[in-house]
Amino acid sequence: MADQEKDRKMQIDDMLDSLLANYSSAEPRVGLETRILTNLRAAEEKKESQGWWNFKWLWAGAVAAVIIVAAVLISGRHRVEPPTHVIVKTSPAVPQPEIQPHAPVKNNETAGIHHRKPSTVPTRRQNATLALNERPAVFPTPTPLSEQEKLLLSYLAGTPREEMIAQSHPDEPPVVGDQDQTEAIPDLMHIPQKVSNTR
Amino acid sequence: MAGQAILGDTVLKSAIAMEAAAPTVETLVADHSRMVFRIAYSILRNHHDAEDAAQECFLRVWKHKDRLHEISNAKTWLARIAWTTALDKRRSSRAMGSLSVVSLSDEQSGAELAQSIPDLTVAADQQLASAQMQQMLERLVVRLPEDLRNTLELSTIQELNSAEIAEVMKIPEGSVRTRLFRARKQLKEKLAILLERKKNG
Repeated sequence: MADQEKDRKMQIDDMLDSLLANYSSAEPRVGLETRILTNLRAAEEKKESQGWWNFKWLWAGAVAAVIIVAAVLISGRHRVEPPTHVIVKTSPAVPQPEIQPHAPVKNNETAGIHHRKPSTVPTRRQNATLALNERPAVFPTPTPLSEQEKLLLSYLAGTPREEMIAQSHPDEPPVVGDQDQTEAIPDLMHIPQKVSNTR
Repeated sequence: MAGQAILGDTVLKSAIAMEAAAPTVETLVADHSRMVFRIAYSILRNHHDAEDAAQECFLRVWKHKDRLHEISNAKTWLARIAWTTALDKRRSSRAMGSLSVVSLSDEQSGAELAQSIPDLTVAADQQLASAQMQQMLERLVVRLPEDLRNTLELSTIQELNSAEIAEVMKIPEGSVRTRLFRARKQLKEKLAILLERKKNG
């Protein structure tokens, strides 16, 4: 019985040794070295080409940045300047009424809202304040009279007032026909209107 | 003057020798590609995956090609890279669900394994060489604890001795021997159970 057990153990031992000996005895397919070297060369070429492309993009980025800066400078030089001879009275900033919230906002309502970052672009309210600051004291802005306006003023100065009033009234309509015919036309306003409820 | 010439000659020779001793990626491929493939195969159990792992291993080596002269033992260094590459690949495969690990305590799987054992009345050499037995061993090895399994798998590589396995795994050589002993013991026990089941029908 003991011999049988010993034989069985030896048999299992031998079996395991044989199995483990063949466990990693696999052979690679023919040409493994060549394939590995080819793969390595391809990787090297890819890296070189990627490096060149990165370098190229760097140059392209630099050129683009220079073009943008130049465009900004040129556009800034050609900007239309406001007329300097107009005297603008700058009044202190008009206080704008604060917009009061209509109702207190609940926290749970604003929980999911992403608050925007404060932007540098002026808002509508800021624009309105700026416009108020730049508003002239006399509106419209006084400008020298034109020739037509001067002639009109001199005419008005030399003309009597009654004549001006008379000229301000519209002319009477011209007489179309005889006086009889005009009288024959009854005044429609004085004709009694029949009120009829039956339709 | 003659002494200076001799000294210069010696320095030049030693420099040339150092240059020659420093391995290149090409020489590493030529010398160790088979070992790298076998390490990968011992872990992945698949020719295609093993070759992929070998390619990836040498790509990792290639990334360090400028520092190859700093390596003291190219063989174990390469073996470690191959081992870690294959382990990474196995983990990713397992994460994708391509491998299924079943416990031996599972009655059904144990019965399946017992059925896969060929008839022992036939010549032993034929049985041992059979693919069925190899598959059964693979399934038993898969169920070993991770540390024992890794050590056992590396021990099946003919090119590596226990000292080199220890260097690859960064553990003492004594630990390698202990783990191998425990792994073999567990495998023998499981084999005995399976053979007993087969015998009892």
